[in-house]
Amino acid sequence: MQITDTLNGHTVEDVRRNADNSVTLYCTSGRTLELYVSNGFIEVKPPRIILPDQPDPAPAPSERMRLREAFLGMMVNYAYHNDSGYLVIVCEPLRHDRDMYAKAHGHREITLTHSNGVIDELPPVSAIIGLPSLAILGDAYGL
Amino acid sequence: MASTTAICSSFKTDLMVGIHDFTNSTGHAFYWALYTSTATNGAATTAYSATNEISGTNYVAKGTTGANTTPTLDSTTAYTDWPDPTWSSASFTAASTLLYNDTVTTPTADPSVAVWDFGGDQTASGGDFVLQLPTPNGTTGILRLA
Repeated sequence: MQITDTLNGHTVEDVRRNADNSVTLYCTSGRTLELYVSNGFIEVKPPRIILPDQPDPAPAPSERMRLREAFLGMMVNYAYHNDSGYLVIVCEPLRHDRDMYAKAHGHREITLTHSNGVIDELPPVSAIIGLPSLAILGDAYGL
Repeated sequence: MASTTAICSSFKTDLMVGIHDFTNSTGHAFYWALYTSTATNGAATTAYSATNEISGTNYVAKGTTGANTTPTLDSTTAYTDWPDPTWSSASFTAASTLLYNDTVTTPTADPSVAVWDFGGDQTASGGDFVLQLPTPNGTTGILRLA
């Protein structure tokens, strides 16, 4: 998808929410990507065409958002819409701390959701499964 | 179909012919593999198989391992224990796990130990997927010989 094409191999250095509730990902390479909600899905805004002698129509960055913490220092691998319709961006840590980070975390999936047009990260969901004890019994049979 | 919680029958005979070594550090490596709800592992499972093994973010085929404790006696019951098998920042769904010996290659490679069914699909999405083992002692230890 377009996010993969645009951001693959690029490292996110900032994420900001714009005045129109769109979200812009800024990469260290200078590449940017704007996400917005369209027909219930998080989509990528079409590239802006900047004509000579006209101001850049990009919305002014406004709010540095919590989402920035999730992306900071992460290199984007690819993105997809999962079965639940969420936008999932799969990242990996920067090379300089990759070994240490990857041992603990490996790849990271950042799942984006939206409510009333506002994009945010879907909080991670953990699964904790308690396993029962299993035994080979001898004494139980009076042996 | 689904898997069934059980000690694998082949594990009992394997014990009696000295296949497994649960000694900490110098013993064998035991792995926890995860399976989909389509798997039908249970008492009849004799070895690890990739069939119906799950895939997903931060899950590596054949599962995860951790150093188990050297078997200890609690009164007349022997038990061993593992750190809680954990997959961090995981995004996948699993319905059961198979504990198996990854060191042994003969007469059967990767011989099975036991199967635990989760009672349905369990899903982590960007969080940790943790198998929480019971308190290690002669009454509740995850794997006991009474």
